[in-house]
Amino acid sequence: MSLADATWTGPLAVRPTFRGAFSRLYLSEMRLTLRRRRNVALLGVLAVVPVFIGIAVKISTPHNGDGPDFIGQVSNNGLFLVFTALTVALPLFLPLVIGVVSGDSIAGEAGGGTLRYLLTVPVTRGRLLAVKTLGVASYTAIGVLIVTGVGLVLGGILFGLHDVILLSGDTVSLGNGLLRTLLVAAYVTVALFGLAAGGVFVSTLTENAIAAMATTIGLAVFSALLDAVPQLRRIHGVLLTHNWLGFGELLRGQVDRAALLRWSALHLAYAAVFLSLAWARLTTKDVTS
Amino acid sequence: MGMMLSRRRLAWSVPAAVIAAVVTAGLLPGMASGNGHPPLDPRSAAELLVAVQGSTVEHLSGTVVETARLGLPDLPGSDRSASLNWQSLITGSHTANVWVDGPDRQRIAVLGQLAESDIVHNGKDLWTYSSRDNAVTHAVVPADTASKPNPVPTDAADLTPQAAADKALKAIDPSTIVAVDETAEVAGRSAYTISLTPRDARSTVRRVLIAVDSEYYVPLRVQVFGSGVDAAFETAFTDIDFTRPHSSLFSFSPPDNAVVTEKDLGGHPSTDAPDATATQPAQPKPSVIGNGWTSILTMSQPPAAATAPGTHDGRPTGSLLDQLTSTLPNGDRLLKTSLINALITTDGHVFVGAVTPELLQKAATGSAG
Repeated sequence: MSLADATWTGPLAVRPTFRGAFSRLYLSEMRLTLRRRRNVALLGVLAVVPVFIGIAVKISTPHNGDGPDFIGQVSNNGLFLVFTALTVALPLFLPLVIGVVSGDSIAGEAGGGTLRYLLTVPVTRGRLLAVKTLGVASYTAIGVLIVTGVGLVLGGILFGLHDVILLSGDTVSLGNGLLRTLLVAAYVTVALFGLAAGGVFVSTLTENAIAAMATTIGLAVFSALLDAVPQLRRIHGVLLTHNWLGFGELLRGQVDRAALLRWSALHLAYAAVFLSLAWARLTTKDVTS
Repeated sequence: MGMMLSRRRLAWSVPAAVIAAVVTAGLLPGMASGNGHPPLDPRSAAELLVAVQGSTVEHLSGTVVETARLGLPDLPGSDRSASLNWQSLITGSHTANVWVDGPDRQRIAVLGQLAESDIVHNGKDLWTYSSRDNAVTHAVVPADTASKPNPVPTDAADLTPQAAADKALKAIDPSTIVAVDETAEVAGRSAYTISLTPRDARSTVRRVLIAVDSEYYVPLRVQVFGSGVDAAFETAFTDIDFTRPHSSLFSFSPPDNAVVTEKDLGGHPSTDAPDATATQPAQPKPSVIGNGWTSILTMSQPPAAATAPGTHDGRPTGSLLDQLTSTLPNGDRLLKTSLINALITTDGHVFVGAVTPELLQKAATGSAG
């Protein structure tokens, strides 16, 4: 089962026109991605994070400082289950899931021998890369939304949703809190896009999908490692993973918009570099399988 | 073949161009705001000192970054914590937002990663809030101190350039050489620089540089140089705005589920500072020996700060102290940093100051005898 099989059906696909080909390719890509058992299982892993934390907090109420950030607030306000779950999922689970899907994006097709068929559909290699990237980005957003959504629903059921106490001690309405939660999810998605793009680039380098996945996850681990060395403080600001937890900025009384924009721009810059490299690689590559 | 090659080269020039663009965009702002020396009308040191003391700025808001390079090992997570205690401010770098609206209303927010600690002073009320433990302290500021410019009796309040500059300027006496240094650019504003140099060689302070806004005469940056090349202690605005902050910033009401601890500031406004953690036992009152640059702080018992981190991961209390200090022939322990030195005598006295170890020892023998 590959993308080529799914696209190379119906009379429309053989018509030598690009109209609609892109969106059809994107839709079939998403269908395939979300139908793969492995990818669904990975989303299940993400959903387990808030479930696990929620149940643990329900059984024994922790105090602040007992575990991940925000955990002491969860029992007072279910909304904080979202932030606790994101804090836990960001260093490991989310990069893992993104690494698998982005690493597989091109290398998986090449390794399965389906890339050359895929290149016969009436789209250019650049567009194929765009579809693959968009697919990985959509999957990232779905992953973040699952952590957020499951956290929100379960937190609401277990602990109820109330007015939100910000990091600065000011209290804002639940509506304001929900809006901030939405922005947090959006920021985290953008912040993870740099890594996702890195995975797509790595995926163009090899036909071994496992190697591409491992390398992508390695990128995140390596960046986190550098981030933990105090002597490298000067370069911390530009590391891939350094600002992932910067979503906390959205939970302050005075939100530093400039910082959020700067960090988002950094991740988009990473994405631009990785994607241009991926484009150069894919368009000059001799596809033999 | 040749066409294939040039096509290849063309394709790879795209990422090269993207990388070049990203790097340029990343470096440009840094180059623009670099370490320029803006041209300003010359001012004498005396003129500047008068102007600073006569500054009429009532309100401002801005971001302050404090950096300590004392050469102490980093305490775990100290960079990202948002503690209001001085222990956490003596290593690494910390960022705080500051809002001032006249002498009666100020707010400081020390920013950590997913954490924040706030000090809000509004008229008679003085609140502190710490997000890590969701704890609030409240104190009523006595009427006589309420009118003073900075009644906020918490360690973190010392981290603003204003407070640091006040301290340094107080130390000016005949033992100080006051001069005007090169102009500087701080927080995007042009500034005069006052340089203070102690004449007394027994002080470990090599010199203190205070950058003063050229329009409003507000201290924008204070750097204290010790034995290192970089400033051992530095606090500076990274951005500043002289408009009146929104009044809602100063109306703090404790969150519903927070634990509120009432503090009494009545008799002793500044020494019994409300502690953000509120768990430490009352510390013995320190006293000061000497004056000016060579003043030495002495306490009868090691402060909790020196020992607390040692117990953190179950190690014996003394181990961190052992790592940091060296033992002198007479059994006393000496902690040397690039600015501050501390002597812990065998009988439990502590002498701390920005002075040479020799002077500390002299003070120790003097007080014992």
